[in-house]
Amino acid sequence: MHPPGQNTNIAIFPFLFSRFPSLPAIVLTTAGLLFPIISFSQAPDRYTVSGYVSDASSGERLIGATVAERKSGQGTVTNTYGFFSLTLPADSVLIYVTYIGYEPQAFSFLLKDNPVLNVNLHSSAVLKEVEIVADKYERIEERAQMSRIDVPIEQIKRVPAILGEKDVLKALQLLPGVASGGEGQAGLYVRGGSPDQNLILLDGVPVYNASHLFGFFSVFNTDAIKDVSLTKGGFPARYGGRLSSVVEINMKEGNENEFHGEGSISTVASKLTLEGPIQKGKSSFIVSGRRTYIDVLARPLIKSGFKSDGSDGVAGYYFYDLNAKVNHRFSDKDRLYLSFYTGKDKFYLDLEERDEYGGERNEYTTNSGLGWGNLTSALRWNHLLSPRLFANTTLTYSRYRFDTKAASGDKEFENGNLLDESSYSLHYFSGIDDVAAKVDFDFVPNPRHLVKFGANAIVHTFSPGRFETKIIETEDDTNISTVIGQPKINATEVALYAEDDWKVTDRFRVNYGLHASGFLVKNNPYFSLQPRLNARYMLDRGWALKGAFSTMRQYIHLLTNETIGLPTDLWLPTTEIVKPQDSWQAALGVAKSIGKAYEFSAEAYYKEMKNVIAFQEGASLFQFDDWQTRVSQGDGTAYGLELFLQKKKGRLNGWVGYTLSWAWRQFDDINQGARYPYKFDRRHDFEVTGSYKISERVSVAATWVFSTGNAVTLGTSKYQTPDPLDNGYYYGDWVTTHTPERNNYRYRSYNRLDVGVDFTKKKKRYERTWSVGAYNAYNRKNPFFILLDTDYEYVNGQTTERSVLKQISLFPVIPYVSYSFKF
Amino acid sequence: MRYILFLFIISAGFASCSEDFFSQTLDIDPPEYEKQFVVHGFGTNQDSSFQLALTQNYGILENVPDSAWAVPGATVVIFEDGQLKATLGISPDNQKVYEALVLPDFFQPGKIYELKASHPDFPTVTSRQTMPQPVAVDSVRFRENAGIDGDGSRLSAMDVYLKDEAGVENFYEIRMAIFYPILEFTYDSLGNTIIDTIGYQNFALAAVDSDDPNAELTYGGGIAISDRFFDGQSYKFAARMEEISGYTFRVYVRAITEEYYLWGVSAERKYQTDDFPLAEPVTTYTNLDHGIGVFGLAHEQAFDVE
Repeated sequence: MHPPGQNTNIAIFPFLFSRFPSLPAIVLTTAGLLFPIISFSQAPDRYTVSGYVSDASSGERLIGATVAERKSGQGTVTNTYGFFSLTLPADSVLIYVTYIGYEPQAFSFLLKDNPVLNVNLHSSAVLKEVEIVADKYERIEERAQMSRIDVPIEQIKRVPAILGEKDVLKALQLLPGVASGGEGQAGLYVRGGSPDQNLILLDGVPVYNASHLFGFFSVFNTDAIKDVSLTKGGFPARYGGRLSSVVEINMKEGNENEFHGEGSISTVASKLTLEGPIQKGKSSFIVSGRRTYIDVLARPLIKSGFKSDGSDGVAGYYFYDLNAKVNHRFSDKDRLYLSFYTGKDKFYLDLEERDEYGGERNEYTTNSGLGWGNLTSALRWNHLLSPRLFANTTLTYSRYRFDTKAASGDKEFENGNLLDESSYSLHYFSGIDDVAAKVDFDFVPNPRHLVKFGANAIVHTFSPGRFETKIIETEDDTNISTVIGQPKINATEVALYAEDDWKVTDRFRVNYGLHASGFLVKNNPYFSLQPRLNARYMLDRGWALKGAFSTMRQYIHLLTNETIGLPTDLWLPTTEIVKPQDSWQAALGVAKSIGKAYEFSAEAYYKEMKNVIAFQEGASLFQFDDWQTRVSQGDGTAYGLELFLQKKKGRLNGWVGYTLSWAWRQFDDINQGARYPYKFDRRHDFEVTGSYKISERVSVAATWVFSTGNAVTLGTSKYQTPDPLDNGYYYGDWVTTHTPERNNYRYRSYNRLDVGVDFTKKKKRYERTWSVGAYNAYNRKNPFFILLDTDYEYVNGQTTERSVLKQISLFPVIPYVSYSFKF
Repeated sequence: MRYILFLFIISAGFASCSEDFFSQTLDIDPPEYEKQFVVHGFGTNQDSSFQLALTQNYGILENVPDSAWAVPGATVVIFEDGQLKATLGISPDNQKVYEALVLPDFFQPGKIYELKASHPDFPTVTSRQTMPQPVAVDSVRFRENAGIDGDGSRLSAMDVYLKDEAGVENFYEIRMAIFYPILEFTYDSLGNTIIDTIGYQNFALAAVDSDDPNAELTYGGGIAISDRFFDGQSYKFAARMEEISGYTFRVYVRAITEEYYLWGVSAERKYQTDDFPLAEPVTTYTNLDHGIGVFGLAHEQAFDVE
């Protein structure tokens, strides 16, 4: 067989510099200084095979497909955009392209120049039915990088979820090293880090608030997602800007050959996704939307409720997401993507009341709303500069807004004439806007090296919170408008990186690199150099010994309430007072593929964090003075052991994870300067999730989780403090609680079983699935918060009071049913 | 049909559950605690007597009885530089506190005072303080129109100009009071009201804040600052209060111990946020071994300001 579409080679660097005279030159110079390997020239008797691997039916690029030459044993895997490059000796070659779940393809030809090999793999019907989840990724013991987990989206879709709403972040919470927040929350606490230390990227664009409905759902619609990965340590140099993790979520590209759709109707929301070709084989689109409808269904009831109270009104809540993406292939070398996401949550209340007495009439109106949401967009250009140099240039815009409004009005009429009018309104607004540009290069000088280098720049605009109030009263001509808040802050963040994935020997492989970053805010510059290292040594019997070291820096901070996912998240920059957060992390572990279906890894890690941010004692989000005066900066330490066994293939697939961990915080002005356990310090965290395909039509899934309870601060005793002024004015005698230290009390352990059954049937034109299941199937009363309360008892006409400590749980057993279809 | 049957079985299963099954509240055991003394004792060089509130803590589900102020039968002593200085007994005038008449040379700057309270039913508590040196105050001035607070209300301020001693860690606190006239209302034979000032009452004023970002409110209406922001320098330290004028103010400028400062700041934060569940928790500082509360000393100077 001969490769389709052979091309002649193009000189790399002259072309590059003629098209991009400045930035790549800088990047290449940096990379050249760091990596002598880049200067390797191609020997005249070696040629490079390059191209893309795609799904034949949809045209979707396949990430992580294996491309290997049989005789030399040289091989590589496709990158995030499905691109590969393999340099081989001039000879006859036999190249296999494999991707489990797809029929492998082989290409045999005489290598005498630099051919382009674009491969369309056909899915294997038999394999796809049986091997539910494909092994799309490089085998765990092969890669140098550790602490990274790829979770196939098919597997995420099979995890039973609350109200049947499949959720990416909830699935990631089931991985070792990742703790959830409170009951039902979508927040991620990775290796003792806080939620602001996670870089969540949707098609490469940061998503600042990934939660709907106070964290009970995440903003990611699984129908529009192609793949998900979590990196919690051993960060390669290309990542930066956050201390604890990188969550990469890539949207599907859209089927470029046929029109398809899928959708679902569940207890809480409905979804519809459509995809298809715009120009067959060249361009495609995908559009996906999701909306809750409890507000629409409940509207008549709510209106009638207000009516019975003598008013006209409506109240409700909804959220929606809209994902869209188009792409066009201009040539074998150029492809353009435009992706877009917007989502919003909104609570609203609109009321009107009217009183009439004789000729007098009063009208009262109340309008209030609470809204928050993200918008992200990315324009991406993939360009093949040469068979060995791939470039990805991206322009992005990202926005998060929190907005609340409350207004009331009062009109007084006499005999139909307006006598007086008054109105009060309050508007609070905060948010962050990012405009960013980045360029990333993949350079394959020879089969033993994969060099990645690039640069990015982000212009942040922070809106730290602004109150606008307006009071109008016609009776005394009052017209007051006040604005309290802090002005917008602009900051620029830049980064340069270079890394080399080097197969030193067949046993020893290393990924090393350097990430350099800078931040400029109000003429205060900050710089950081962050070395990164991942190494793997193949032991006997297929075991890989892995080690990693990375340093990270974070320039932006999040002020948030960690109890529930309030949308009042306030993203703020490093300033002259509030310093950037830094961390270093070291990890050591082993990994092995067991048979063809299982992957096992064990990792021990130690992480230190500097200048982590927290509210001062007694402070809260509900203060509107300078935020810098309400925060403290201190240290964090986390260490632990993670065990992970994953099965991605077969009728039964899923994973088992266990984490033994410790997480500490120390601030000079919190807990009297003493170290204390982090709220999400979990000594034990165990999770098992799996699905089993009983037949073509029926599959079952279950998840069980167990974890040590959260650490919380609870008074152990109480006492009376004397009135310091001794006059009863202001203070009086005051009974307060004694808390010996921060986070001194543990909630009882958390455990939960979720179960689900899918009934699938292929119809003539479409396939439908009924899903039924239950969240918290054995109705465990898991702690949400604890409360010191008073119970009253009435005995023989006497009322007695009794103080009680109550644990409040949020979710009892919650059954769900949903209907989904695809065509 | 079979799905409907399936759902019916599930629904029937739920219907058979007891009311407790759906309850999301669970009574839990309170945390264990150790019965301890609670001490609040504040000494100054101005005191004519030294009083100490010596109470005890209770479990969080127990009631704190109003009548159980001073723990009876305790032995409470104060040592000065290692020598027994005073033994305290329950005050005959106020059963809430232990009291010792203060000798003229009590609470001398630079001397070390140790409090010890013991009782068979409680662990013995001890606490040690070194009496601070007096602060050099240049002047104290009243300032009108000192800005507005978060609600838009006008504020007045008391500016204290002081000189800090270099190389020593000092903590300063301002407390304020007004001489409030005690009025007597009488009526003459024509029914006119006659108002007589029959005396003055020293009425404590609580500080609202400071325009100094490094200052912290302290429990009891004071405001305090650490000299780490101005070590060895002359400094203007301001306390702001609600707009007030037309009175004679008494301003107490105090050099306080670090422990007193830490307790005062943490106790005030705790007081301000005790009923607000979304505020970050506060751990109140204590300098008592095996006890709760504070034994704090302050060197105090009083200034009358018009």
